Amino acid sequence: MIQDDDPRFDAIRRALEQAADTPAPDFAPLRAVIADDDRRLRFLRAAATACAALPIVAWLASVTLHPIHPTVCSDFEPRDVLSIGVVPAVAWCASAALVWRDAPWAQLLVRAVWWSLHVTGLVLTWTRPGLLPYGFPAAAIGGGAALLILGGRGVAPFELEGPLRPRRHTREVVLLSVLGGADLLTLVAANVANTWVHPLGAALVAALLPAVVGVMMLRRWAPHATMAANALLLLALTHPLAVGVPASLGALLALSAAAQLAASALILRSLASGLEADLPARQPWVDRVLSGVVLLAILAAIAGGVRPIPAGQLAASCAESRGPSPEVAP
Amino acid sequence: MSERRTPPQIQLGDTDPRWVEVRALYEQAGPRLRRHLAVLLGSVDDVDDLVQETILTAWRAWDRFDDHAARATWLLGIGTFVARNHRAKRQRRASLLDRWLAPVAAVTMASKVELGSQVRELYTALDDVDPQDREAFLLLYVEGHSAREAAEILGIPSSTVHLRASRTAARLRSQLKEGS
Repeated sequence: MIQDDDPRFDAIRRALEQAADTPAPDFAPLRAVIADDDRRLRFLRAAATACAALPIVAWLASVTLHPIHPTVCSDFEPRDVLSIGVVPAVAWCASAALVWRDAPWAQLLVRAVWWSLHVTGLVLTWTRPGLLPYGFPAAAIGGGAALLILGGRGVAPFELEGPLRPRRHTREVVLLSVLGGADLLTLVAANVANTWVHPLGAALVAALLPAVVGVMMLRRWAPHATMAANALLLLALTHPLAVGVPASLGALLALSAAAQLAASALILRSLASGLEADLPARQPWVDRVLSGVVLLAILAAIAGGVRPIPAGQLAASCAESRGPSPEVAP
Repeated sequence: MSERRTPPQIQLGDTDPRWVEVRALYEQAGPRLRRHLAVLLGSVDDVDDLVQETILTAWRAWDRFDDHAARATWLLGIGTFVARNHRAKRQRRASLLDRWLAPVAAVTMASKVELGSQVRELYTALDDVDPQDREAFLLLYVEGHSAREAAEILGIPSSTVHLRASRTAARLRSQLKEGS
């Protein structure tokens, strides 16, 4: 019978005491290791920020060159070109400053901005050709590359702790904040760019905002708020009021809401059993799958950016992109 | 929770407050950390590397510590996480080698420390146990932590520590009996 005083344990303890009795390694090499790691982290942050700046460069080039060499729908005013990218540009500026901060909310917000650039860039590259033919592929490529470069730095277990200590669910918390933040940005950008102006959009922003802020600040109530907000979002998207939501935007929001509902349910279950701070099991395949998905999305954006677009499809895309705003409606 | 901006260049002099605190923790809890890692891995081969990795993780997460436990216990928790990842990598490598090249002997405590066959047998039996159960068992029975300390290190309730440790003990009892 194995007991605390089992002789086998005594043997192990004696051996361990003998093994651990050797003097601990000198502290000086640790300084060098930490300094090296810090240099590497600063380089990665700079490289990721530079990648995420790609779409902003492409968008600014489109805005400034539009009067002499239109790269977007030819009947657009420079003001229209400006409005398409103003929200992502502001968000990118914020992310470029926040990526240097170690606070969990800053790291989560930065990931949300990059994910938003990546996904909306990819979707719009394929669904709205001609709207920003360089900017959208650049957003998908730059946002994806930035996510791959920085990886889990700053959002790993033990780094991502606050009033909520979601060690077991670090990935789920990252997912909630990234998807929630990206949904918010997408909704705001869609309204500003006049691609979808609807009271429902403002209501959804109002419902999602506190939940996203709560998750990024790692509040214990945040998973509850996220669950409620996303249940509302799903209901709203299936309600007759949702008529007018662009199909691609609606599908993205619904998919995101479903993923957030599942992730918050997992966190709530752990919170109920007191196991949220349990050490996470190593699942390297999840990271590999996520990296593979982002890589595939980057390739799809490249393919979307270089494909020839039939003139008819381009005209339809431009007409649709002007949206329901009375100022620009034909 | 405090927030700290990463300094543009880390001051590695002894006057940097965070550096002084990390160094003090290392001097106080370093030997305990080494022993803890050796118990979890069943080997002293990679302990120094893992001590380094643990301290590096602690440095990065320093501001996230919120006084719910002692700093030393928090450090052992990070060490447990680092050891779990290392062990998973080592097992995967061994399993790949086993599958593609030739059978490899399990890396056990015996590599550097001469132990009896019973101990080796115990660690071999533990190889098949779920990592969470294995850690609870080793912390409670081998390392001699109290249930409360083990609970703080692992981030779980004391009752769960008891449950996991006793589940492992029951499994080992039957496994070692079968073996003998």
